[in-house]
Amino acid sequence: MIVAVLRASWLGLRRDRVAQLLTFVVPIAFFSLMTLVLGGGRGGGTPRLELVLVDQDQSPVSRRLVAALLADPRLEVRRQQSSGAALTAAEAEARVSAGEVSAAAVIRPGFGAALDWFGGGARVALYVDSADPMATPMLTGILQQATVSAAPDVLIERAVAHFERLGGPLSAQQRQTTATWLRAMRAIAPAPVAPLPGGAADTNTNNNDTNNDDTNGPKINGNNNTNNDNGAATSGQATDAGPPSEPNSRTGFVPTLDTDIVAVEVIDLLSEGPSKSPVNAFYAAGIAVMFLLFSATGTAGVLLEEEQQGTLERLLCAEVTMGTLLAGRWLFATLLGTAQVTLMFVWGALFFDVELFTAHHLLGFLVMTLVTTSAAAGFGLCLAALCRTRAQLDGVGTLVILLMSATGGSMMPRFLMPEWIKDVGLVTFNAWALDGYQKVFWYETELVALWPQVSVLAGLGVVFLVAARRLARRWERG
Amino acid sequence: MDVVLSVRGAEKRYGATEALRGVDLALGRGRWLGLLGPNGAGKTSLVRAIAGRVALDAGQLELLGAPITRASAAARAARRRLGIVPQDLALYQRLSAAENLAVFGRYQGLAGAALAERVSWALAWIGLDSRRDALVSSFSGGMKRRLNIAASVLHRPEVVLLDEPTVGVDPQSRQRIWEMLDELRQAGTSLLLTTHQLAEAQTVCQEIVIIDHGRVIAQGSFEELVSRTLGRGRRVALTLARAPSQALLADLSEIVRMSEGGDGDDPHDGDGRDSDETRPGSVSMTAGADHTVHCQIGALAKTLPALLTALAQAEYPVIDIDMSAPSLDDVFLHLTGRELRE
Repeated sequence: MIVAVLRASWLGLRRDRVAQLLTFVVPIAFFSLMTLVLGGGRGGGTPRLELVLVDQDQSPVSRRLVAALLADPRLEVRRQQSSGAALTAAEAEARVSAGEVSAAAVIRPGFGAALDWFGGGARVALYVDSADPMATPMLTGILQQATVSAAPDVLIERAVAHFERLGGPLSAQQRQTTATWLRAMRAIAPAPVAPLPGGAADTNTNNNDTNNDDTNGPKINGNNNTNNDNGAATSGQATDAGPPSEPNSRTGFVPTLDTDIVAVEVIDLLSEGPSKSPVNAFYAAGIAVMFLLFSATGTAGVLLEEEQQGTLERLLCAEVTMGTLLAGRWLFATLLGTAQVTLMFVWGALFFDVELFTAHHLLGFLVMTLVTTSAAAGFGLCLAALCRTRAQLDGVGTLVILLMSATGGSMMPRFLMPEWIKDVGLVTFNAWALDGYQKVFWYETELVALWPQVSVLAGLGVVFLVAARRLARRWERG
Repeated sequence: MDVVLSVRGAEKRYGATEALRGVDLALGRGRWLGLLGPNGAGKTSLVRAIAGRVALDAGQLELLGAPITRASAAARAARRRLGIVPQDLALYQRLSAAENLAVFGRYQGLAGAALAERVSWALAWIGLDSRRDALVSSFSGGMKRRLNIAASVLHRPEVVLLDEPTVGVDPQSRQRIWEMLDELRQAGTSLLLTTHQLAEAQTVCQEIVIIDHGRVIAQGSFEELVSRTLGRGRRVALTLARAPSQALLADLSEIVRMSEGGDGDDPHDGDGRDSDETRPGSVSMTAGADHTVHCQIGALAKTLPALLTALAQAEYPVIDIDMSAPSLDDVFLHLTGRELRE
């Protein structure tokens, strides 16, 4: 008897392609995708972080640091405008504020002169967008590492100078040995990059943002070691061509061992916005868009049920045209989706500090929600018209929506994804919708700045509807 | 006859398959027309063409005086006076009876008080007044069938196409459905019925059209069809106490031929084909162990006593006699054959 039951079950499964798809293909596809998204593919590794880099110091040491950062495989460094000129600190800050990149590093004037193994006050300002929580810890570490790689000779030379000042001069043999080491270190240090046009002109900008007490300015989060920069040189760029000797500002400097080589000033440009909890708004949008796609597909699936029950035939025999029928279904799915997303955000506002009830947020939310739900409704109709049965729609829809949600950022933020997955994500519905919501709730951009997202989503909606109308001809033909 | 629906030379081809090959039929006002045929005969294609869901390759369709072969304003206006009852239970299961009727009434162009009045009428007509707010998913098959019909006639159509309106329901519900439909007919509605329930079609239809392989193979009233195919005789089955010999069967055949003489209906007179098994004067024995001899007799009072006498003399006791008039089933099988259609 059990054998008969097994045989019947096996025969049923063998002929049910949807069940096969959901049992075997969907899990593997999803595993593969999540591995690619989270693990960076077969080779593993962390996705490259986009960094805007500005060198206000323009000293040989700072240019060596720039060279080291450019060579770092974990970073994708941009330091030029489209004209080829060097980016300024103000431009770098603006790019982070606009969400174009997650972080910008500004090597402060006097970096080369102040660099010291024991925390001499060499400063780098790090403008970050805390929407990307990985950027700050990653870049802080990379800057320390890159500085040591870029200027090991300078650091050793200055450490030896401390030693001589505190413990007495080296012997001739010690000097000779030290000189040998220094030559070896200079040989492995990267060559300074050539200065960019206009790079030296930016030395006087944004030099006031180390003021931690400025409550109106951006917030500086720890790790900046500003108590150690009492001896730092701050007067413009260095002019020496070779490795700097002991800087003249070191007099009286007391080396300490419990400090970083580079004082990294982390400036979170967006944490002080009016949103109480923009991260929660981000998650609300991600989840809402994913389930919006599910509900739109489910609503459109009624067409297939109607076909199977014969209701569709009855409607088409009456005075209902296929265009009218599709328009009605699309409108219902749009209204339902709008209610669904609104409920999600209201829930977020009531219990998770999502700042929905401001004029700017409400208006942006309304624009993004209407365009997103209308496009999602079109997507559902298109998918339903493509499938032959409700069961097929459920299987295919689940697969497509999960894949789109994974690559489009509904399941995890896109900034954590490898570059190529981010690019792939742009063909998904989710990515454009989430970028729009992020602009509203995180970057608080003007409504007009939503035009790329609104245009793409509206365009997708039209494409989906046209495709659905064409595919629905098979129902008209019967 | 005031013709409300006429089909002339209807042709429809699906690839290499010829679904309709020059079909003609006419439905008179206030009459039942039964469109019969085996599976794949072309009934559905014809009904869908009348409903406007399929375009004919050739031929003419006319509904209530308006040509409806091609899409036009006149065709649309005429089709508004058409009701279509699909074979599927095309209802919204998660809606109540009243809600379903209201939805389909709106699709048929009704609204407001007129819609409410027709919904109330329909619920009373199908006997579901007390269940008006119950979900359709909770209904029995018969209740759904009745609601399925009501949903198609809310707009008072003058012509109704019915595709298997009684399939899958119990005899009581079936009886109620025929009564409902006859009420419509008596009110002047013309009904075109496709069904495999031939006994019921025989009872209700004034006109029967049998199509096969896309052609009309017989058309007329039931009596006309019988007369043209099987003749007017009775089918007689004599169950014997033991198996008859071939010699006995030959004797019985001769008695029938002699007794019937030239009085029997000529089986070649009608549209259909003849059959050795059923034409008057023929005698055959069914396969199996029931020892039954079948024949068809026109002059019953003369031939049957002669047969019984011959059997008694041959010492073949008769243990049962069954007599029946030819049915539409007999006519249908006679015309379309016994080969299975898939």
